[in-house]
Amino acid sequence: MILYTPLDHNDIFTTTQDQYKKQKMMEVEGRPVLVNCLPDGTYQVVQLLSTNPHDYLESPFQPGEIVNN
Amino acid sequence: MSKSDKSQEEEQKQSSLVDKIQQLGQSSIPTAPDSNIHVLSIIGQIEGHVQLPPQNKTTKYEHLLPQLIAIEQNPKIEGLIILLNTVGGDVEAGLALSEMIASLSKPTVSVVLGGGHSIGVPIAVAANHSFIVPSATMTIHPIRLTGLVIGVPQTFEYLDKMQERVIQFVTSHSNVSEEKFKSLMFEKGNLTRDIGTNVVGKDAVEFGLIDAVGGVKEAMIELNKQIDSNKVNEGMIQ
Repeated sequence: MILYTPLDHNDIFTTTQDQYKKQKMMEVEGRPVLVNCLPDGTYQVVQLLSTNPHDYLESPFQPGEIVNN
Repeated sequence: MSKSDKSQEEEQKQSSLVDKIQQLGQSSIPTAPDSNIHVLSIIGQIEGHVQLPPQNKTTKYEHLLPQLIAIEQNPKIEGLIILLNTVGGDVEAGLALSEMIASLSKPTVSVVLGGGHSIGVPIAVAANHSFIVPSATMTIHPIRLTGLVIGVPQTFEYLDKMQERVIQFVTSHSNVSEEKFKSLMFEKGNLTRDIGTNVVGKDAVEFGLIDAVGGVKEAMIELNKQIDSNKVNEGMIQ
């Protein structure tokens, strides 16, 4: 892996391994969404990965929304 | 039909209605009309084979590549806008995205907002027409390597080839000459602790790297123009 970026290596890789487990990709209403796993078993939307601009106007995909799955 | 039969039938009807509400509960959300223009946002770090720590905003290329195929296949999508605000990232993932965008048959327009650094440069020039907002910057610098190096000459050669791939892609998809791009890449004195150049909006257009200075309005006008000319061409073939 070669990173081509003006950022320092230490700026990119600062966290410990267990940080990785908190985030995962899942589908919400057919759209791929990056979520944070919350301690109570629900998920919080971090990022929506869709190319349809209208998806970003809909409320279930707004960052911070809680998703039950 | 007896009375009990009738009431049973009614009960069944009601229960199916309840089922539907339970199953489709939230499906009454009004759906927006399909957009004929889709948006691909290249944000934060471009993630490659190694998953980056969650504090980084990342562009996940394994999800973007299938989305680009879907855009190519969907007849309702007529054009694609690529929004860039990236600090670069994995070389191969960035080149993969660039090649995918460059080989789309549908009209593509890119807009560099904020920053389109390092591997963001080939992605920006991959579109049919590229725009940069006046305040955006693009850092052009050599590819570096951190960590343990085993076999210095071989590693150097590998890095040199990797850099050559980036230079080849950029020069073949934009109006910048190889000499000019290399001179920007190895310029001394522009970046405090590094060699390279930080190219700002208008300069990027002057060097031939980006086609024009402009934002959303200009990008939409250009994309609609390309979509229209595409339609005219298709009409002539038929």
